[in-house]
Amino acid sequence: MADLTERIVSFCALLREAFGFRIGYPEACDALRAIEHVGVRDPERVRTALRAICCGRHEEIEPFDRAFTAFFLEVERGIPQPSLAQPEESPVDDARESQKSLKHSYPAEDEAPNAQTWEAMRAKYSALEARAEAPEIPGDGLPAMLELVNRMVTRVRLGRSRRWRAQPRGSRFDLRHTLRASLHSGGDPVTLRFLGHPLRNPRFVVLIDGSRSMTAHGAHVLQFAYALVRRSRRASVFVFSTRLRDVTRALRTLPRTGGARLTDLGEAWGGGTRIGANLTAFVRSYGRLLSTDTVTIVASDGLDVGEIADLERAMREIDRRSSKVLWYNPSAARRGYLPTARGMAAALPYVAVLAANLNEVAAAAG
Amino acid sequence: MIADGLYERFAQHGYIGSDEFVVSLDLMLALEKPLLIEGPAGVGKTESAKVLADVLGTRLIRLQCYEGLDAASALYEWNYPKQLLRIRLTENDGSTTREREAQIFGEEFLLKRPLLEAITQERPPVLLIDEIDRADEAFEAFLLELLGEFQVTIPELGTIRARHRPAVIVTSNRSRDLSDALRRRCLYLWIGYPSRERELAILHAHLPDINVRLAEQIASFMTFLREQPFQKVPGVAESLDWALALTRLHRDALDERAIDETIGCVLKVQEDWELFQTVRVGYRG
Repeated sequence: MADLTERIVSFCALLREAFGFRIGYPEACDALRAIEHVGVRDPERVRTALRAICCGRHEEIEPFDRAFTAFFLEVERGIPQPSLAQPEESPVDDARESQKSLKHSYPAEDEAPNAQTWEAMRAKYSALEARAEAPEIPGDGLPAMLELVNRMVTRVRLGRSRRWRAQPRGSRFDLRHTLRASLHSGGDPVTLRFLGHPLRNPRFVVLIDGSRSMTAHGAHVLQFAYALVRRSRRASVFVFSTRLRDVTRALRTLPRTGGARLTDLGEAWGGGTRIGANLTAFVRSYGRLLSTDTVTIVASDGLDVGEIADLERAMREIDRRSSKVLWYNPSAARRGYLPTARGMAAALPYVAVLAANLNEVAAAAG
Repeated sequence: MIADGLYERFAQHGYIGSDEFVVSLDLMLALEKPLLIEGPAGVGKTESAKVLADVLGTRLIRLQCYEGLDAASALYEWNYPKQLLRIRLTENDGSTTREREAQIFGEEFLLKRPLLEAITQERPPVLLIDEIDRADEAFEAFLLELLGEFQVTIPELGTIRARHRPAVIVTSNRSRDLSDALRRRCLYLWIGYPSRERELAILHAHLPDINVRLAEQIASFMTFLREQPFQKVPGVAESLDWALALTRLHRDALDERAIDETIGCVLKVQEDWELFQTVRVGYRG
């Protein structure tokens, strides 16, 4: 039994450290109780039980299954697992280390998971995944950009939400707070309290085209995204080139002075442009971010080499599900520009405003 | 072990669950933790809680979430009119303010909403917190104490602990992301679209007198439809509706005409109809 305990604890540690799962001591305890309950005879049943405990979201199921197979099933057959080499080379050390790290059961957010370094290694040696590094987010001009974003965020008006909040000039009488307040006046309701609907908070989604044709404007757009993430907690930023990547968390953890850069963007920066495929991937995996409170901003020159029908379908879906879609196209600033690029023409019917600079974006958001 | 019998007991009530479903439910009952079920619309997330209540032979307490749902309508509320009346009635009976306050903030004056009701039952019920993604993010915080400790703290009254832990099922359609705090307190289960075999079993369980060939054709056709890039991919609820419609129309095979007449049971967006007309030629049943 002691051996099993050790295996489970090191499996949890592996999930946490190599795959970035947010699990710790309580999950390890639950996992042991679960195994006690379902038994160890049927590996698939063990897998399902541990999956229910260790996974918290749909995206985690696939990496979990991979890790489970590698950790529990393949080792017994003696097949080395290159991607998981580290934990399996020295299971004893690993268990010890995991017990140590179990003490602070939740890893801090800025701890880089090993999975990222592994991806970086692969990218380094693979010709297929050649990419460019993202530009530095310039520190100068940042105050002006924050000011611009501030203007934009405060300008967006979405009307009122359905929930009730205490408001001095609300529309509904609030018996609860009136009664509370009446305790001061011996039970006589002297001051009346009201409830009203608060204003709805906007959510922002920024999709940045990081392909080669956009490199000249990359730093500027990233600075905008960085400023937006700093200003609003309800903003999400994605970059895409060949692939799509969520960079919201990475932007949030950058130093506040500017002058830092996003690393490990992989195929999401500096490659070819597949706008349609990436927007489709966005709708599929992150569609939950879109709501009637969402202002979606796409920054791209609309030069798509992929399937145009995909782009059109994705844009229709994004437009249908968000409050407003704005498209920032740096080329639109050129004199005599016409949106005739295939991608741009396909997207145009679903775009509320085609902006030539970020000031126009800020003005159009409201 | 319960798990072995659980599948059959669910099947008796017309719910055909996958292996993962059965193991997760079994674990949820064994570890006494809430179960968070995510998945596309119409795959039987809500139904699972209803059937679980039937299987366990207890009450189902349901909290439907919506935007603007607050503690007053989910946890508890004081019965203000009754409190006011009591204040007036006891005005001249010589009791002190402290006594009167203790009186009007007693359990007698508490209106129990679903969550509080669920933990004060004599027999542990099944608590279904449905479509939690529709409630605001702030509402999740109300749930944390209940889901983690099975208790509710009322400032005027103190902490009310569950006499018996209810079986809690939380469902989400992923229209927004849930907080990590909530996810950590729950076991997690993803219910996807069923395999062809399971869909067939579901059709037979719900419509015992359906034509065998028709059921097979529907199951195959639904598998085909789910591979297409529709805006609203049809779920199990749709295939059951469709099967019912076709049996009512006394069709015993799925031919072109039958499909044309009844496709509205399955595809509910106009663009999907258009797309369907172009992809249907590719179907080889």
